[in-house]
Amino acid sequence: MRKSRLLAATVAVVAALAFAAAGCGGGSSSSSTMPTSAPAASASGSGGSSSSSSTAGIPQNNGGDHDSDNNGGPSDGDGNI
Amino acid sequence: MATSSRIGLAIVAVLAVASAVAFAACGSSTTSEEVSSSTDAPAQKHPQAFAWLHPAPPPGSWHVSTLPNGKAQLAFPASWGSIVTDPGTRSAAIHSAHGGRLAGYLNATPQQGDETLADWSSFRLEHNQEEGDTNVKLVAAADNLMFRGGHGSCVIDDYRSSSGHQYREIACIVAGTNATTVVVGAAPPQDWHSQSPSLERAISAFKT
Repeated sequence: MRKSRLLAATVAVVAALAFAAAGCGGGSSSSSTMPTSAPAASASGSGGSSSSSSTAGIPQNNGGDHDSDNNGGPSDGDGNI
Repeated sequence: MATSSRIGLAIVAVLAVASAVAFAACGSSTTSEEVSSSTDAPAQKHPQAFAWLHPAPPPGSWHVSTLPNGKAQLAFPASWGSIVTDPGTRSAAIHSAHGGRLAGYLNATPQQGDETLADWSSFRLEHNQEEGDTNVKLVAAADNLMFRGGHGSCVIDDYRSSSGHQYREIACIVAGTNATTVVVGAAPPQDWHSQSPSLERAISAFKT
């Protein structure tokens, strides 16, 4: 009787450990981390858009005609890069 | 027999404690990472941080700059000056007396990308990262905020630009009757206390 209780308790604890390990693994793989810094845009061409999603973007000359956000300044409200 | 059972129970107890500790540690780690993740930015976080937002015309002494599309107006203090930025946008800035360091920045830009009022906080933080900003941290976010002639979503966040300068910004996307426009106010941390009243007043006066 005691042995069967002990066995059941051990199985329960092992199951809990396996569950904990699985949870940690999943959290790790699904959590996002800050991306590494991308270099500021430095395209020298004019009129080119660096947008990846815009359909009618503002021209981003020189990464935005010397636009501050493309030269290390504050980010503007442009949804493009 | 009794002794072996006690030993067995002791082992089970130790394993149970270890399991609980492992599970708790796992949970706290996940929470920490979620806080720093922009893609998980909530639509609402400390919405009381926008209690200053009271839509009203700007003071009479302020400059008012109309966007080239004629669909939005950016107001800024007389001590600030217009600066050239992307075509189709309007920006203004004030610099420190010594060294010309940027102390305050305002910008209004027509909606350009896939940003929406619903996903604004996550979009904005992700966008800043894509532009090369680092240490992007969400401070506050709120939606269904009232503006002059419209409503919008706003976010306050901190970031370090690609040039290594630290900024705090208020960025809002505002849907008006004729257009959806983004307005941004930013300042370095050391100037935030002195410049944030002007930034907040300008955003309260923003019209689209």
